[in-house]
Amino acid sequence: MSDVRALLVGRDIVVGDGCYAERAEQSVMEIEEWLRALTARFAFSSKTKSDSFLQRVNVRESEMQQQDADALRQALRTAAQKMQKRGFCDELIAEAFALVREAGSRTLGKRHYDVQLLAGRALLLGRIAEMATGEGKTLAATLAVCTAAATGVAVHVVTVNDYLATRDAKENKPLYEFFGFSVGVVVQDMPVEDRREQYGRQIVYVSNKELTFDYLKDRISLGGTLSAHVKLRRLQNARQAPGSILRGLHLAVVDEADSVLIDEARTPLIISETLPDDLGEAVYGNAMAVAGQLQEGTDYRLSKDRDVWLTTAGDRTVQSLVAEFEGVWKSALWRKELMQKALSALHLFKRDQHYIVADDKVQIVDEFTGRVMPDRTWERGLHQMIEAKENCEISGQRRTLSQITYQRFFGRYLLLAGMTGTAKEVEPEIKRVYDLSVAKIPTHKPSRRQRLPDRVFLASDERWQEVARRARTVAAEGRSVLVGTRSVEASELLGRLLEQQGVAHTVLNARQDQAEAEAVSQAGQIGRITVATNMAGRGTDIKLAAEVAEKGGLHVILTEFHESARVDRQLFGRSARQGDPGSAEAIVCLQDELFQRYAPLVSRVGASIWLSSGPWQAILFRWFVTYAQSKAERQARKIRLDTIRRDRKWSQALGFVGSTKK
Amino acid sequence: MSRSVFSQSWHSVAEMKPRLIPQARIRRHVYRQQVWYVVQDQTGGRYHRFTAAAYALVLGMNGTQTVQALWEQANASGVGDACTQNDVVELLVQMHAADLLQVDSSPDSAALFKRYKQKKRATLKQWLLNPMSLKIPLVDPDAFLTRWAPRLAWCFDWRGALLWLTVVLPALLLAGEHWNELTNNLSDRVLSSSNLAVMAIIFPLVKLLHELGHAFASKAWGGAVHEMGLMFLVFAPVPYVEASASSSFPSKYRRALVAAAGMLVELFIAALALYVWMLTEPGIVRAMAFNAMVVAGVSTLVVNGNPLLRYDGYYILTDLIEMPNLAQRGQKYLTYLWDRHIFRVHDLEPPQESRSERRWLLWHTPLAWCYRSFVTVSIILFIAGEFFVFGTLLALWGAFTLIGMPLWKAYKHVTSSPSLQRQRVLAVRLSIGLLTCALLIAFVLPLPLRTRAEGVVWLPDQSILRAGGNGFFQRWLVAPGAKVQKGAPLFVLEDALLATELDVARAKLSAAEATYRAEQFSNPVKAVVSLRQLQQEQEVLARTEERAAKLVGYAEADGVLTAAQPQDMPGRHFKKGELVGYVLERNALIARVVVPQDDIDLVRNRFRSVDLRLADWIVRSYPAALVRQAAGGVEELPTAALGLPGGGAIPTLPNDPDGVKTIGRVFMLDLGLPAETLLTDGLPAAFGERVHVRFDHGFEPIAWQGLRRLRQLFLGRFGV
Repeated sequence: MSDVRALLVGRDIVVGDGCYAERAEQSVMEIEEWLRALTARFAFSSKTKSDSFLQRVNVRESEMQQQDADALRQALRTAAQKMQKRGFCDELIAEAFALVREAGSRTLGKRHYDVQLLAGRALLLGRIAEMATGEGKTLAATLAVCTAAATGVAVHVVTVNDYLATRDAKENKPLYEFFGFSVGVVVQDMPVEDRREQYGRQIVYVSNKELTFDYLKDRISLGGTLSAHVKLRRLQNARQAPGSILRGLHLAVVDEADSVLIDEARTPLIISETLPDDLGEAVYGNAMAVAGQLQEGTDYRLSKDRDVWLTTAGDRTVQSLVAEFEGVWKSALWRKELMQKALSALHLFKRDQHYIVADDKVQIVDEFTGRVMPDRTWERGLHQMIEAKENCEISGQRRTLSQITYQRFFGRYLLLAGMTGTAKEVEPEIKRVYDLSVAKIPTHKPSRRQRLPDRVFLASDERWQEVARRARTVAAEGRSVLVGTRSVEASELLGRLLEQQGVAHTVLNARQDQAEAEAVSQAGQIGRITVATNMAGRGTDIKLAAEVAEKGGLHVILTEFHESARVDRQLFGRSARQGDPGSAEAIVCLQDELFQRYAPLVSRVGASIWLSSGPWQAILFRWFVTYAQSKAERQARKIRLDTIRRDRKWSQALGFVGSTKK
Repeated sequence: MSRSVFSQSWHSVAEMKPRLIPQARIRRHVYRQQVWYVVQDQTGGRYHRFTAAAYALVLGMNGTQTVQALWEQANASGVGDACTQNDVVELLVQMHAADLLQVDSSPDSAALFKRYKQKKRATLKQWLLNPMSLKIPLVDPDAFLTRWAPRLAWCFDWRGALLWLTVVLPALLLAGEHWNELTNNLSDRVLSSSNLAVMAIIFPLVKLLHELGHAFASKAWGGAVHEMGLMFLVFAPVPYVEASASSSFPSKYRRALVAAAGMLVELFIAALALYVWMLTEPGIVRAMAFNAMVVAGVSTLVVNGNPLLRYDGYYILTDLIEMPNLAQRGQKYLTYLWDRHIFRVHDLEPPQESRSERRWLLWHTPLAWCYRSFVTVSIILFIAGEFFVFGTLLALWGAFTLIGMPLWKAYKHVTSSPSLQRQRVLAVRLSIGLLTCALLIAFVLPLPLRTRAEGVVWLPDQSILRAGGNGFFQRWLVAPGAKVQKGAPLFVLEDALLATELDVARAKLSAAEATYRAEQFSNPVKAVVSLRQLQQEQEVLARTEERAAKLVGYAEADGVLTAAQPQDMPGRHFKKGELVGYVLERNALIARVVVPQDDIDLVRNRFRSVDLRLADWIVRSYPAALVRQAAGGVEELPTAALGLPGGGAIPTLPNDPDGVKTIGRVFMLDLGLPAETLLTDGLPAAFGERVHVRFDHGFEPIAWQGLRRLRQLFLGRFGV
């Protein structure tokens, strides 16, 4: 079975007493977390250490080239045995990496670059490796994955979606098989037995959502079973009863770590069952009808923080409107609850921005990533209200069976590591919440990306016209263009505009499947215009056609600054990867949410500056964007930390329900 | 925030089958016509108060029904408004926190251990926040109490009441009678070093009896007492007992009586001590009796009996008015009022307090805060006077708990309280506005800066004209009101007897002279005798003439001759030494003002103007002028009237019989008296009289004034 000694040597980890190896939940003092965040701001990496590490790997290279396959395998096994006693020390990692590098060039035909070695090392040391887009994160991960798997650890490579899990597993399989590691892939709709079989393999590629849900399923089925229970049962009955799906939380290498660990960690993952709705569909319809009759200002108020509430006068209005309704409407508490939900559904949630309607179902769109999350629902009542609003079939109420936040879940791994293109901005927060450091990995080749000056417009329409014009112009030069939009709605709007002008283009809407990834990978063809939400095809490289590279590479147009500068960086990072040529520009308008919400005053006062062009205006505008984004990020961070704090407080208060039910 | 029906945590508890711990004991209480249920965990000694609705839920917790089922039942019964999932979860959390809950799931051992650690940390935190509240449990007195309680049971029925009244009531009357004897110079007597030793013996004894009073009272009605130990009140060890078992008594009078028992015992002791004090002669027994009276009587009434401090009086009050947790509820209610009316949060759930309860809450909280501040500051000053380091630490702690903590809590409330979510912007703006106003008023708004001092109307002896001998006033040699030079004769008295004596003396002298001359040559032997006679008569005459000469009054200083009713004086009889009039230099009329060291800097360097008032005509103030500034400080008062014993404000050395030696250095200033206002009928009626002086230093914001005082206080108290 598995052997986690290498992960525990020399590290002060308390392993939980549950039925498989995971880190016990530790209470952390807030001051300690705060100090961690503070130190992260002043952290610096040791260049000499990484240089000597690279040297160690490189001196072995020629020696390795002469070994035959069996010798390489044997050498890795020997190194792994040493690691079980000494942990992941530089000397042994270097040895292992040299072996994997050699095996990589033999099986995949790709030799790991030096920077990838550094990234692999950072992963084994439990850090977040920050590598620029297109620097080969997937390949870098194989170094750490092979080394860890050799020591007997169950390795989970966590991707953002099923497609990437399948693709990455397939791509690297030859390397893993060279060393005799079994590779598993877990995707949606896989039956439990298959899952268990896949998780039983040494290396598993799985999306974060599937992984977490499988963990929750384990918690539901095993409850508070202790490892001692399991052992006793095994003694009594040699035939092991079907136990857990997972083998344990040993090592997780999380791809797009900032997105998974920070952005998606805001909402807990909930596993639920659907029960028939006991209120009856009419209630929701009635509530929406009543809510539709209310007047803003007198009956209810809307705040800029996306909050809506009934005023005292509004409550009276509602009372008179629902006078003849029966059932729950008689209770003041229910009446308020229903109206609150109905008003929220009506005014706070917008179709194609917060949700989409597909197959007569309401599906939530993650505002942050633009992804559709088909399995998620809003809290009880709200989801049904929105279904009533869109005249969809009212789904039953969902009963929560178990839930967990990513903070809790990933915090339980014995060793957690991550890769991302953008971690710098959230480094203190990652350090604070997960106690992970960020290692900045230099680029293999210097970047040739050209950032053109930002352009600002007063009205949204002008911006779209300009975006369309620029896309046409650049595409006409024989280059390819990628236009990133904030929402599905915006990408469709631009799509229509381009259609009117008769420009050939592709619109991608964050469906996260193979077709989309293929479309993205084709985005580097001559004269191709691709319109996509910021996150569409994330993780897929846009490979340039040779002619395009000659003409100046991919041109990225950002159409609206995101609240998070990281998302913008991701988008820009799609051009000029691995030393290719490329350019990027932002064409935005002052009506954008970022400006309106986080810096309304500055955007209005400075409008004349932002709208005129000039070198110093450009600098001022860049500063202005940074200001608004840092303000937004700060607010978002505060909300996230508050959520964590509240979550902890509650789980503490609910201590009596047992650890698996919280 | 409005209540929401559904809870995010429902799934955690829905399937659970909770059970009220079997050792819990439940009692029905009525508080202000509302039924509550007090649940007590017999082992942990913890209490929890449930509303009737919550109790209905708790009753159903018998280990067979799931929470989901309980909730559905509660809502199906249809009593009152629906109970939300959140209400149920909160109830469970509260019960868990009070250790009243038993659940069927295997508990999270790590969480339980963490909770245990947290409780320990909470005790430590409480101690840090309030170093005066450190408690060290020592013994479990329950067995002892159980053994003795039956024998003392009579104390807590009518017999005890009767005995108490028969002892205490007469003592009260007697104390009233001997009030002066008892209170005369109290602080000196109590704080003298020999007495402190006696006090050190008496104090713990009395307090031990006090605590036993609580313990037996609680035991008398079946409340267990499992903890007794020491706590440190202002660093003095004091015993305490844990008698909270009484809170489960359904009768509010019994609860109040348990809280009051300690004080009743002390008053009883004080009464007995009074009898001993009256019956014994001065000596050690009497001293001990006196101390017992002070400890038992005064400390009880000032500290324990005060409902504004969280001691016995507070608990008696909350029991009697049936408002447990008065202090916490008061804070909550005031917060609610502020949020509702100042921050205008309209969707707040109003606290469930009745009209009369609201009145209590409204006055108790602010008063208690003021009183607590007052007590804390007094304690700090007292301690600081004795031990500088402790004093400073205590002062820091005091500032932290009285001002820092409330401010921090207010800040947290405004910035992150969920109830303010929708009015946060307004709340933050208003808070900043209010704070700015307060700071502006404190640091910018100039307020009059003044110093007060006391002085006396001062006159040199030379200015006073007195009668040189007995006699009738004959006439003025100089008209009153005229300017005179030093040495000028001013008035003449006439003494008929003296005149006769003079005549007789002169006649006798001439007779003696004649006799002597006659015998000088004729009879030398006799002449020797008559010469002696002559010399004698000469001496008599000289003495008499001298006395006669004193009937003429002379000016001893330059100035204006002043007298009261000068036209009525001729013919009036004056006794020797009696006041006839004054020779006044107008601008020499002064008030001598004593300024303590602390104020002299202001008076010297920021002098603008000065007003004075006479002690016997306080309603009028007169502007005055500074005549002379004292250069250096002295340690002696011009008159005892300005010292503390003489009724003034300057502390003097207690061992100085004259009462003029000061403890601190003082500075004397002479103010020119506005003569026209002081002289009634041309006469200075107010010489030697006390004057109240107010120096005006212009304007300065209140904060700077306060800081200066604070600095001086520290300088004065701590000598740093």
